[in-house]
Amino acid sequence: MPCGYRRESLAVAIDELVPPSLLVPRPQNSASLRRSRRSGSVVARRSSRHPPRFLTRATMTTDRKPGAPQFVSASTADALLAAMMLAVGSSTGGHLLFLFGLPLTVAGFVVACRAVRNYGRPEPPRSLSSTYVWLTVMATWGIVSPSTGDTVWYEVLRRTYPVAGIFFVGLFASGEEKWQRRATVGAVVLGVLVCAAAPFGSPDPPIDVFAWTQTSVQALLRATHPYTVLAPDVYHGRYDPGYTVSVYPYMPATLLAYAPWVGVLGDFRFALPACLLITIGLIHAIGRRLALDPQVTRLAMLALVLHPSGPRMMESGWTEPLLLTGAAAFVYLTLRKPGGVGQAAAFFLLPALKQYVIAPLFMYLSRLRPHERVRALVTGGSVGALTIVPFLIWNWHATFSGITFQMEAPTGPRLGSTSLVALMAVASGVYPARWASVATQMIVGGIAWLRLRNDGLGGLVLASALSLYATFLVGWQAFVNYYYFIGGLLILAAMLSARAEATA
Amino acid sequence: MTGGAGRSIGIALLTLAVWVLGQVFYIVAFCQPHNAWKRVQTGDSQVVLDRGEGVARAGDAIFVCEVPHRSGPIEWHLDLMCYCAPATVGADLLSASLGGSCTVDKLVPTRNDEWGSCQRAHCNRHVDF
Repeated sequence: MPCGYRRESLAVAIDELVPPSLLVPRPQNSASLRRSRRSGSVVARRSSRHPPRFLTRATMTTDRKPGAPQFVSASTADALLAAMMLAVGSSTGGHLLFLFGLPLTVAGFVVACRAVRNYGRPEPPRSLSSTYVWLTVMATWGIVSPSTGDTVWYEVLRRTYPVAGIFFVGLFASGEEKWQRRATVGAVVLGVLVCAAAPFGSPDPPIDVFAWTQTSVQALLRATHPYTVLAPDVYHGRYDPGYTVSVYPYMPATLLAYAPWVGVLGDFRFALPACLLITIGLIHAIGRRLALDPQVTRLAMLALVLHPSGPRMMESGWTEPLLLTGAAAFVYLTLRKPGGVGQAAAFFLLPALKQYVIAPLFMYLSRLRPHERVRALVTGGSVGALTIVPFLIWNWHATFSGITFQMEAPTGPRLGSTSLVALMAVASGVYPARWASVATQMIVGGIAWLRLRNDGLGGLVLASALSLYATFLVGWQAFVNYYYFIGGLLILAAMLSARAEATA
Repeated sequence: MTGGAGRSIGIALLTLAVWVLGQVFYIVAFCQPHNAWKRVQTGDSQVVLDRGEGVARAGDAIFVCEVPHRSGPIEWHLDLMCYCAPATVGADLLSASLGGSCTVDKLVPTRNDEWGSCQRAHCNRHVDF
């Protein structure tokens, strides 16, 4: 039996045949049904007329018994598995990059493709055994993952947390509701605290992202145009990544998001654990709104907080936790009010925060009806424009140079990237042009969207994840921060897949 | 509960074992500095390093050093690596510091150098004194 669970009764044996996520959900009370009707959920109505053919009266329960095996739909299992494989693969650097890191990342992409293929299909349910195994592997990988350059106490702390994580996963895998809840709460609380301690544990990380963001936000707070200041070279000339940064290379929205944190706490990185906490809260709210088995929601939380590079994301000041919060807010707001302006604003914030979110925007717009599209364009476009236009008016040349900087740099593939292009460059010195990754995003996004365009919100999130995943697999620069966001999208897709019929 | 925790610990130990084996496999089969050492020994090429992100700082010289590759008490093989260190540091001091044998490759490296062992000012590691 998987995970050492015992079969205790015939009722449990029947439960084994059906994933809880495909059952009529327990909290789908009259209020939530009314919500579905108000939002005009076509698929929700269709699914109520045509419930899954293997749904039987005997299985219409989500109450788990202690020690019972646990199952989820195939696409949920695949999306979660892909997210965890990606987390481990992208967190593997140094000597093991091309030995473990890249192969695992490619394998995660294959599994994500399988999730796309299985999405919405009545595939046989999958056991969660492999999910527990990969959660443990994720946590363990955190013990040996690379660091940015910490104080000794933080280095010890960030490597001790995964040890606790291994224990939490063990508790979770016991299958008992009580222990699953406690393990999740423990892992989330400790995980957020460890991340929140990162600015103290790594006060001056040797990474240009930190220096550039901190310097530019401080300039903004002094009413100096943030794209006209020059940050100090934290590498002191030791490294040449193929470019020399002469301008803040990120989007203006990041500066606006970080400004209050620098103003109040002096370090923009405090925003990142706050984002993690908000994302966890949103995942909890999404789980409730989708009426998911709490176990699926908790697994999603664990997959996020046990990311082997979670603390490193915070130390380095990478922006992707902001994007993930934006994506989770988009999912939540769409579930809450599908035609609302909030969801459009949240989605448009993604390209406003990072330049690489291109194909998902087209997918999002193509999913809407004409009048909704116009409203989304007006609302979302206004939000995006509000973050950019003031800087353009202030100094258009500097702002434009900053926003487009990464289209011209680096001059060649970063050899430490978790990408097939880096492998080609190392092995043969031959590699595709820079635009290949953008073309790949559009092609893979288009193919995934063709398959998932009728699968509602979950289809959009999964297709977005796959298109970005492919982008970085063939990108000149592909590091753990990019993959962190993609992993988060896969986790959200897994949740939506678990209740696909309620999300269109 | 204890069964689940025990299983998790077992998977974690297995994962760590895989990580250690991966490191050993890399060192034995793919170690780039050792491959450079072999290339130079067999006379296939004198180039130790011509790519990467590590470069000499202003005032750095580049040294080629033959150093033993160690993991704790285990000595695997000899590596040949390019080290960037202040030009004021002599090869003898660097050799003593690294426990190997260093020679000066370039006293004033530039990004256009296409000669010597450490080309285009690339180095595997930086040393500060």
